[in-house]
Amino acid sequence: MTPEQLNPEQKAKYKEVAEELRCLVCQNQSIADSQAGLATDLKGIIAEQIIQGKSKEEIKSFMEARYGEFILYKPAYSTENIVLWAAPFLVLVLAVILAKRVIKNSNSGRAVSTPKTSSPLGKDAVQSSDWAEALYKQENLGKSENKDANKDTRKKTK
Amino acid sequence: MKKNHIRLLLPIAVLLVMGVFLYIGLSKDPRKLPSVLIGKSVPAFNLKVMLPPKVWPVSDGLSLSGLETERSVGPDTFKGQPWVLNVFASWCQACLIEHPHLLEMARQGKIRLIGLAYKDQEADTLNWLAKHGNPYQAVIVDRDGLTGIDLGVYGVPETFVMSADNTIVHKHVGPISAGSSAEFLDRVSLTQSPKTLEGSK
Repeated sequence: MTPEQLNPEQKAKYKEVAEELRCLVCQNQSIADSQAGLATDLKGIIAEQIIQGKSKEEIKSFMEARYGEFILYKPAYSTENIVLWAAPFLVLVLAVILAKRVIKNSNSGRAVSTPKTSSPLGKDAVQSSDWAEALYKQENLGKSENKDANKDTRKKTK
Repeated sequence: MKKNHIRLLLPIAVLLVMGVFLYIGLSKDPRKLPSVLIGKSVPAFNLKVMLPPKVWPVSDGLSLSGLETERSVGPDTFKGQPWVLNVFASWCQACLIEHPHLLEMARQGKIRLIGLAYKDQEADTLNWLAKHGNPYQAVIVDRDGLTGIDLGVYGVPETFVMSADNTIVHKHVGPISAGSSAEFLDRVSLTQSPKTLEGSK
């Protein structure tokens, strides 16, 4: 049985399935793209099962039962794959949190020159008045210290 | 101050952890896939048997009785004792690497080794075995490779260890080499002594 024997409707379905399956011999190709012997055999099986009226899911699970999830280009939404599917979103959330912090901190750099801004350091940080006071003390003491006293003070008050 | 140190070290720590994983990834072979069939029973097949002359006699306890060449057999034929199924072909270059090790295992008479001639012409298989020696007690002929697909074979050679009740217990992908033959034999002997097998479960 070869894919050429399928009618156009079956061919479309065949193409969809074959493109969603990974060739196990040349792993970066789909079964549809691969010319490897095994891929050719598997193409024949896909064509045969389509003629038998099997659904896409049925054909894919036939392959998965033999070759494992690796053969599927799109892994299932299962508990084993939770890290795989959730990781990009977790990284995104982390990136947003980090970005927010960085932006807040860079705002606080401006706050040194414009004390009107309240303390940017969050709930656990000291009150803005204490913070300004500490800054004032630091600047008085800081004559011997380096020029970056502004930044330093911000860190110390934390 | 301390908090800031941690903050500075954190990216480095993350990088290091990633580095470790990536480094491990480098030494792994992405072509060696775990078999999903481990723990499942041997898929049904009905394949023609060939009994090419063996190079070494096999001890009685491990021999197969009542097998005739040309007959078609299913997995039940090999049931009763653990057995090893080696997928090979005369056109397979890597099979030449592992062949001496299979011959050695056969000579020791410790395993029931069955060959599966994968997508090979029968005459070619027989010639190849005559030339290189036959370690197999029987060879089953998978002319169209469909049994290979049922077994999840994606390259030749591959070697399966089956338990006495026809459960697939182990799969070795690629040639059994000097380095891996001892480990492979360990897997086989684990299967052969059911006590140890249960202990390891």
